[in-house]
Amino acid sequence: MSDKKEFYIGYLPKAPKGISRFTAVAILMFFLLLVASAYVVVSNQTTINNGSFEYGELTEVEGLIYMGPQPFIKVIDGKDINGEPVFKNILLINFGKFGATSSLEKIKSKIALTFDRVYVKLRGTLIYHNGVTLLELTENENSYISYRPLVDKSLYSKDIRKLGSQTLTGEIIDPKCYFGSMKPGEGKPHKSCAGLCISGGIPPMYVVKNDQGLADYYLIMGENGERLKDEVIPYVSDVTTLSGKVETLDEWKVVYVNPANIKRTK
Amino acid sequence: MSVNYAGILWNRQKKIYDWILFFFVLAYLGAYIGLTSTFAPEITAETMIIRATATLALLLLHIILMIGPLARLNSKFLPMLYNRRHLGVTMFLVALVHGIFSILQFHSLGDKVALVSLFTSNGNYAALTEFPFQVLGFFALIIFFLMAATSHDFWLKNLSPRVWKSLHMMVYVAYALIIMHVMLGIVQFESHPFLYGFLMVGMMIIIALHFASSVKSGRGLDLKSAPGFYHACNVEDIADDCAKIVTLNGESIAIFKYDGKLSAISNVCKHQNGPLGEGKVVDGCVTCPWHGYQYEPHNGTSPPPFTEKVSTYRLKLEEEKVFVNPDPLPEGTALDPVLTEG
Repeated sequence: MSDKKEFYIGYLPKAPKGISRFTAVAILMFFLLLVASAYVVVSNQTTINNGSFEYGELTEVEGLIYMGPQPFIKVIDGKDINGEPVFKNILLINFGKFGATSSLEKIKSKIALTFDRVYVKLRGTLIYHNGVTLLELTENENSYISYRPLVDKSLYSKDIRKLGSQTLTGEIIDPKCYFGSMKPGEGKPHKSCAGLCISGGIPPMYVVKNDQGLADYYLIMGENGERLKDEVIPYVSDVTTLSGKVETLDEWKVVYVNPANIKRTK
Repeated sequence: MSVNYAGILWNRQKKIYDWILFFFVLAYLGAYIGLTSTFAPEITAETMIIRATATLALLLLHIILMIGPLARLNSKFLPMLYNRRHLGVTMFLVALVHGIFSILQFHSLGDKVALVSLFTSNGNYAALTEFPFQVLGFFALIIFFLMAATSHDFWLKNLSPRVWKSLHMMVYVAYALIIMHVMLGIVQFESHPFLYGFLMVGMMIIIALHFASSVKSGRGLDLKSAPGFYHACNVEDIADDCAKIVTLNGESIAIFKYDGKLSAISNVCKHQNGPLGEGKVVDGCVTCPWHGYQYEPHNGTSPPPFTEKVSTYRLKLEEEKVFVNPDPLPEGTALDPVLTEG
């Protein structure tokens, strides 16, 4: 039987020889197509940053807790040669897609003292990228370990500097995903997740990148210092322009905006 | 063989098919993970799973949609079509992993129920580029689920072949949803041209193959009419034990030549609407290329004990010209074959 006359019937035990050979070649071609596709897709992923989320690894951190403008723990590690304290402000968030305010309120009730009088030791999962650090209170209020009195009350302060009004172009992100818990934690694929995170109380932030890809990060607050959630969610992950007064609180930048003036630029 | 159902019948060809498919899935996922560890080691495991399963399901979907027209254009592709339903179920399972991981990653552990978040966390339904693309993937997954869940002949029997086929033609709706899911999702972010280019080339290949197979099936041909009969072809146009397919007045008709005779029956198999005219006369019976269902050419009836029947059509032969009357006779109506030789 020549190849031209061959006819395949699936329930017969063997396929005709010519068809078997053809099928083997076709399968090989499809296989090469699959592997080539995998190579092209994988090797062209250009938007994965090198943020870290220390999943499964809890770290103990002791510092001063601030509830505003967003929850922070300020870790103080001695003083530098000028006698100035060496510190780092770590943004606090809860497990999942929630902000840390509720957990900190419960911790405050537990220790029965205001946060301006104590060092608090917490346990959580570190998230960090490009000099920005967050601590996920993985066990929520149970992340609290202990406290000790703050002797030098002057340490409970932040250095505030006003930088005037600025117009910025960038992207609204949720910092938990952006700085390491998801990659990518920005752009269209992450849009709804970022909206859900901000809806749950994770502070919205603004990423401004220059032509060289270097980024500046800003906490976004309302014009009067109020926390923003639903007002900014529609603009999450889009390229936008916003204007407002900018301040530095220690090493963090904050932009105070009227959300009605946020504009998409594409 | 009959349109009935039983436990899945595992024959040798199906086992070979499934082993190759299993190898394909493992090989692709292995290649993706291996390449990721080289080119993008900083990626998280969740993102890797989401992307690996997404691209695999997309590739399998393209292969599934290409096999049908490829088998019509060249019958040597029939072995790939024979067990396509297992390929479809596999594609659904891979897409399901993608969907579950995506919902867990992007929509769980928040202040909304995950499925509520899927529809509401991005509310920009009125905009194109900001459109919540994940919703499109969700609806495509629902269609794939319905198709996978009804892939067994139990459902073919109980839904009726017509309803079953209509349901499974929804794959084209799902394909359109998936194209938009990708275009309005990752393509808006990963801006390199390869993914977009692959998607467009894949879509053009699928459209071109469907168009070519449609032309081969005789659709759109300008046929000259005779009283009640239409000129279909010449006798020499039909190979021995094979058929010429024509479509007239909405009737898809297969005209078979066998043992010096001509008979015309419906081109639509009773099993899964397979193209009988692309089959062959084997042991005196028209044999469907898809799953081997058989019909006697002169009466359109399956040989006992099977009970399927298809319509037959009147033929006339004038010299070398074959004419067909497109009015279908009741299913199973016996007609004397037209003799092509003395």
